Amino acid sequence: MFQSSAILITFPGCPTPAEARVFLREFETLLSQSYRAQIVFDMSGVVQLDAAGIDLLLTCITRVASHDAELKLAAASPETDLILELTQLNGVVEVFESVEAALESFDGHLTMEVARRDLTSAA
Amino acid sequence: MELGTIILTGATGLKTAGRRLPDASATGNSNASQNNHPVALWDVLGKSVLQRKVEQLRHAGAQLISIASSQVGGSLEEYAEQWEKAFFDLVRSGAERVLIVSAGIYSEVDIDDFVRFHLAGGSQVSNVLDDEGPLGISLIEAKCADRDLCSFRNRLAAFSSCSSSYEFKGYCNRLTGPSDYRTLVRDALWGRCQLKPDGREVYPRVWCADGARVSASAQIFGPAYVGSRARVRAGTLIAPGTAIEQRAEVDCGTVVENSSILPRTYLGPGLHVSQSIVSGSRLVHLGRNLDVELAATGLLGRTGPSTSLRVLEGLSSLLGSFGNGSSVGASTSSRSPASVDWARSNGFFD
Repeated sequence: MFQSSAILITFPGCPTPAEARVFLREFETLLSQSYRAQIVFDMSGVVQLDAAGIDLLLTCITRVASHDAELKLAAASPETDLILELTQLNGVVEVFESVEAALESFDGHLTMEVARRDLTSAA
Repeated sequence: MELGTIILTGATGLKTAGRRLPDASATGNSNASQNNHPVALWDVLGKSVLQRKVEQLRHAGAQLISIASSQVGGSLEEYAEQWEKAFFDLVRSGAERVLIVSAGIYSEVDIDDFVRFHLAGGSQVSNVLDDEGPLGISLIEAKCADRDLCSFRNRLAAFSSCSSSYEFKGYCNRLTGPSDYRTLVRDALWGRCQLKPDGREVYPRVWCADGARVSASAQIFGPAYVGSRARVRAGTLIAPGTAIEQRAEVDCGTVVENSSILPRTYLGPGLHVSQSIVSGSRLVHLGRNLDVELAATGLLGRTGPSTSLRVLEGLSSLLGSFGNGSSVGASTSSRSPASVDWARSNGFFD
């Protein structure tokens, strides 16, 4: 069954290896069940990305690309925003100040259903 | 005439000659205390302000130089005792007058002219001032120290009330924090002050110190500085206003613009550093007014390749899978992180 709604996902900024594995597995499943998924990572809970968080984000970006999906980041802290600039990931994915702004940036957002998912607790 | 000199480098302010001598942390530079170094000890194009002061004073004929410092967290009283002891030591060594200079302020005061002014005025104490207040330079007659320490403090306070003021109109930077530090670096690079980079001008407004290693494929746009034994690797872009201080290393494909990379700092590959001061894993972004510790990211630090290399590899594979000019998931236009291709496509390579 395919979904066409936007998916809001809480992103873990400093995941343990186990959390990262679970997140990726669930993320992959979500991508494979969606047609051109429109995804927003809610970064508001991330004070600062660590190396594992950067790796996870990067892996997610590559997975999104390979599934022809769309990913946007929202509500990043100033520190996270700085890391995105430093690594130039802000040139690869769009970063929005708020979740609402990120959702609004998708075409047809007004009629769109938004589903919030917490992938780390999916296991 | 024997001129003794005390240079104050401490992290606390100090009242002397009736004037407050501000230095880095006393004027709100939290970063100085966090790094356990006042700004005066940070390298500015190869040498610290302190080193430059010592050289200037020696050039001006000061024979006896004592440096009074205090550890971060030390009390004002301890600091005062330190420089007072230095004052007495200089007087016992034969100094007729003692010049007290705060290294926490960079100024281009002509010391010879100031000494002449002091001698002509006949005051016991003279201070240098500009429009914004004292510049942390005082000249005190040795006669003030002919009694015990307690008496000296009292007498100094008394003399301060009738001290003479030398008005300075030249270049001054109070180095109150990272922003002032960067201003000094930029002013020096653009030739707006007398501070000269410690190195050879290899291209117009591009200076390299001895032992600097710059890859043939790196691009440097002046004014910029590469310090002693610093390393700038392949595909790197050094944009105007940048100083790579001694033994720092900028890894492949990284872009550094309008920033200072302090000694022994390693920047990983594929990064974009702008408007920042980086010391080890600590980054102060002046544009965002952020001071962050990034050790956990592995992007920068003091040794070895890191997360940024993995980011670069990951993005390379991503971009490779999409080919040139494609967008990623209809997000913003994609480009490799500071890659050679990006630099080339933007005309940075000849």
